[in-house]
Amino acid sequence: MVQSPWKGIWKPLPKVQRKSIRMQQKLFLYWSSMMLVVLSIFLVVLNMTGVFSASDEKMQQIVSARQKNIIADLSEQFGRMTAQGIAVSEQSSALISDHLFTDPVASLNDDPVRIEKLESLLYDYLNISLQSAPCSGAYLVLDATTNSQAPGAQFSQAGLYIRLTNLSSKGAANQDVVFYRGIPDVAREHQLELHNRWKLEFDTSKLPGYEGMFGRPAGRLAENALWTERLRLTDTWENVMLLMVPILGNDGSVQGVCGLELSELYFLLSYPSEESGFGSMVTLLAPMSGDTLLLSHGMAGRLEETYLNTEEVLQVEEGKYFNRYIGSSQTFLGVHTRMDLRMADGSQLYAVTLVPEAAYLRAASLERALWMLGAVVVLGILLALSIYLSRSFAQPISQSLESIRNEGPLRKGCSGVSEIDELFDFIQAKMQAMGGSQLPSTIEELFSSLAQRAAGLTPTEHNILRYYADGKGISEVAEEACISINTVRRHNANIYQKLGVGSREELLLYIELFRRCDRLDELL
Amino acid sequence: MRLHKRMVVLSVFLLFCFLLPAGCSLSPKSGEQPVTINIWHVYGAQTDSPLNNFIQTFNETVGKEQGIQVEVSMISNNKNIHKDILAAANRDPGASPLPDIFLAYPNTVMAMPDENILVDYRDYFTEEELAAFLPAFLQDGEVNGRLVCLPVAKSTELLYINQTAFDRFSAATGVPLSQLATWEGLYSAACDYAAWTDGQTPDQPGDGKALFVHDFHFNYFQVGVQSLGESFFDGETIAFGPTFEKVWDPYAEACLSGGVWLREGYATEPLRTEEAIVSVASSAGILYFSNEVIHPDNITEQIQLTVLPCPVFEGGKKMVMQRGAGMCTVKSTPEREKAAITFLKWLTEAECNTRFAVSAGYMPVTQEAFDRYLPREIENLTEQKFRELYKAFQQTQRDYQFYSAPQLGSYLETENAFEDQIRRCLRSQRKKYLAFPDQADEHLAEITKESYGLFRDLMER
Repeated sequence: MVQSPWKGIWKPLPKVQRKSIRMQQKLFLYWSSMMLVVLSIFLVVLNMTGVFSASDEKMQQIVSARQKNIIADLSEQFGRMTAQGIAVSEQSSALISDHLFTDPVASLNDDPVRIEKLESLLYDYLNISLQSAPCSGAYLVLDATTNSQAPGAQFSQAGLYIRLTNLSSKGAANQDVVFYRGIPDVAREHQLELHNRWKLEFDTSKLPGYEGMFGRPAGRLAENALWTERLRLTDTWENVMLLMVPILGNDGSVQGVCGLELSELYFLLSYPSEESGFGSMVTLLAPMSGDTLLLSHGMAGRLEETYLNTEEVLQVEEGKYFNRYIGSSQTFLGVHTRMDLRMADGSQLYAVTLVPEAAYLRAASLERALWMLGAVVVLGILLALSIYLSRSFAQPISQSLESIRNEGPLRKGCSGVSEIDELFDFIQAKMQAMGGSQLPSTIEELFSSLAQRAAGLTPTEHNILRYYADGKGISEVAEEACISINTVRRHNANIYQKLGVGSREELLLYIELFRRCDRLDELL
Repeated sequence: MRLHKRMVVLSVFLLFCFLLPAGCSLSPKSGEQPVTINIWHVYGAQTDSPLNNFIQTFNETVGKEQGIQVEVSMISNNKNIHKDILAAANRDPGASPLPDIFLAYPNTVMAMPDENILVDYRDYFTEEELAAFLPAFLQDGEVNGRLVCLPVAKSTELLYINQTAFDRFSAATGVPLSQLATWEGLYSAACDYAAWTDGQTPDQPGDGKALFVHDFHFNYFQVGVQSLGESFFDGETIAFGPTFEKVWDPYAEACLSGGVWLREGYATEPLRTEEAIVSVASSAGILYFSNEVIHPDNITEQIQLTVLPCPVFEGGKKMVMQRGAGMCTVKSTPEREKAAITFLKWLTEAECNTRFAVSAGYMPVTQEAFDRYLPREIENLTEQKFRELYKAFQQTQRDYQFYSAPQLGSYLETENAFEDQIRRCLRSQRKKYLAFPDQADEHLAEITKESYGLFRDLMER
C-alpha cells in the first residue's frame, strides 16, 4: 500500500510543536541582546572616562577653585587695608611732628584745646583712608589724655574713631560716617553725627594688643602692623577686627596707634555665599585651636541655606578630597587655608570655604539618580526598538503564511525578504497547479469511480462494507450479521466484482485511503 | 502580544527599582538646607539690638524646625532705609538688591515705583489672625487698600529729661519741672536756660546752651497745629495758617535765644554731652539714651533720666504722634514668602511681641498682648529708665489722642525739606539776632516774625 505524500503535511509533528518558538520572539531576543551589549559597552566607556566617579573630585575642584578666589580676595583686602593703615601711620607721624615739633604726643596731656586742634588736623587723613580702603572704620589713638586726673585716666587716651554706618552693601558711594570716639566739636566741624555709644576717649584696656604696641622692638611698620582677633565694640551689637599700626615719633618711639576696622557686617556684605552644584558655598575667616575652628573668634560671610551659627565651633576631620567640619547642628565639607596675617595675639587665621554636607550628599545622589534614570530610559528605548524591529521583520512573513493557510492571494514581495518571497511564490504556484484540489487528478478519478460503484451495492453489501471499514474480520462479520461464513464469502465476491477490486486486501486498502482523506462517507 | 506586555511590565518594574532609591533622595528640601531670608530693620541701630536677639532665638527654635534662617543685613534708621529701599526698587546703579523683609512707613511704600512688588498680608493672614491686631495699627499699614506694612511694634513721642542737670537749673532759677508740661512753658524755660548757662561764662557772651532738642521738628508742628484744631496739610502742601504761626512763635523765640538745639542729628547726641538736657524723642529712643553724660574734660557723670508724656499747648488737645514703622515683605518665591510670613507671625504672636516691644521701648500690636502680657512685662522691668519710660507711655495711652501722619505721596519729601530748612533758617536768623548789640525783646519778636516769613517762603517755593 502506498503512503500518500500529503498525509499530515499541514500538521506539524507534535514533538516539533513543543520545542519551536515564534520567529518574532527569536528576533526580539537577538535584537535585545545586541542592544544590551552596545549599552553595556557604552556604560563601561563612561565609567572608564570618569563620568560616574567623580562627585568627590568634582566637589573638590569646585571648592578649591572658590577657595583660591576667596584667598585672593581676602589677601587683597587685608593687603590694601594694611597698606592704608601704614599710610595713615606715616601721614599721622608727619603731621604730629609738624604740629608738635620735637614735643612728644604726651605733652598734650590735660590740654583739650591742643588735642582738639590735632584731632581736627588728623581727621582728613583718617577720612580719606576710610573712604578709599575696603574697611568699615578708621581710628587713631594718641598717647595723651584730656584729663589725667579723671577716673580711669590710666586707660583713657584721646584720639579719633570714625565708622561707616547704615551699611547695606560693600563699596556703595556716599556711605554715612559717624563719630565713635573723639572731641564732639571735631565731629560737628565735619558735619558728622555722634555714634549712639560715643565716648570722648578710647578705653585702651579694651583694645587687645594696644599696650604691646609700645613694647615692640622698632622695625618696619609692615612688620609691626598687627590684627586683633574679633572683638565686640563696647555697648553695640557689632563685632570688629582692628588693624593696629604704631604711630612713630621722630625718635622712633611709639606716640600712638592707628589703623582700620573690619566689621562683621562689612565682611558679611563682602563675601556673599555662592551656589555651587553641590549646595551653598560660604566663606569664613577664623582661627583654629588644634583641630577646632573657632567661629566665635572670626568672621563669616553670608551664610545662606545653612544653620551655621557664628558663635559655635567646628570640629575638623581631614579627608582625602575635602575635610569635614562638624558643628552642633550641621556638618559641612570644605577646605581651609592659613592666611598670612600678623595677629596681635600670635594666633593664625584660616580662610575657610564650606558646603553643607547634606546638600552635597543630596546633589551627588541626584546626579547618580539622573544617570540611572537616563540608563533606564535608554534601555527602554532600545527594548522598544527591538520589539519594533522584530515585529516589522516577522509580521509580513506571518501574514503571508496565514494567507497561504487560508488559501488567500499573496502579494508579490510581501515579506520583504527575497528568499522567503521566492518560497512563497513557489508554494503558491504549486497550489495553483493542483487546481485548487488537494489530490492528484488520477487519484481523484479513482475516488470518484469507486464512490460511484459503491452506490450500486445492495444494503446488505453496504453493511458488510461498513463492518470491514470498522476493522472486523470475516468471522466477526458473520457473527455480527447473523449469517454464515459462506454467505459472507458470497457477498464478498459480489462486492469485489462491483467495486472492481481483486481481493479483500485491496478492498481494505481503498477503505483506508478513503479514511485518510476524510472521504469514507463517500464510499459507505 | 503577550511578550510585548511582559516586556512593558518588566521595564516598568526595573524603572521603579532604579528610581525608588533616587526618589528618596530627591525629596523636597528638608531642614538640612534652610531657606535664608534677609531683613533690614531699625531696632537698636548702633547699640545692642533687641531684634537681633529675637532673630537669633527664632533661628535656633522655630526656624530650625521649619527650615528657615533669618539674616540681618542692615540695621539703620527709617530715613536711610527709605533711601536704600527706593534706590533698590528703582534699580539705581550700585544699589543693593531689595531684602526679603524691611521696616518702613507707608509713605516709603507710596514712593516706590511699584508697590505691587510687596505682598498683601491679607493673602497670608487669616481673618482671625488679623482680628488679633489693634484695628488702628492695621489701618496705618494699608496703602491703596492693600495691607503692605505689618505692624510689629508701635511707639510714640515722650519727653526725656536729664533730671540731674535740670535739678541744678531748677535750683538756680526756680523753673519747676511741671513747667515742661506745656510747650509754652518749655520754650520759656529754654530761654531761661540759655540765659542762665550764658551767664556762667560772662567773658564769653552768646555761648549759652540749649535746654531742648526735638528729634522731629516736623512732628512738633504737625501735631501742634492739629491739636489746636486746624489741619496742618492743605492737600499735599503745608497750610501756613494762623495756628501755624501760633505754634511757630514760642518755638522760634526759644531757637533764636539759643535755648533749642538746631544742629542735625538725633536728640541723644547733645544729651550725651549735656549740650542739651531735655528732649522730645521716640519712645524707642530709650535704647540710645545713656545714664551718663561725658563732659569736655572727660569726666563722666551718672545722671538720672526722667521720662514724661509729651508737652501740649495750653488750651489744645492732648495729642501726640503715633510712630512705629511696619514690616514689608517683598514678593519672591513661594518658599521665601512663606519663610518671611512664618517669622512675622512668630514675632507678632502676643507673648513674643510683648517681650520684643518692651525690650525696645515700643508697645505691642495685638489686643491680647496689651491685656494679658504687657502689665506683667512692665512689672518685671528692672532698669530704671525703662520703668520711667513705660510709666509715661501708659499715661500717654490713657490721656492722649494719637495722631497718625497722613499718607501723602510727597510726605517724606516735605518732611526732609522742612527739617533741613527750619534748622538752617533759624541758625542763620540766630546769628542775625546775636549781631544786635543788645538782645532786647522787641528785636527777638521782630526776628521771630521775620524768620516765619523767611521759612514760609522757603517752603512754599
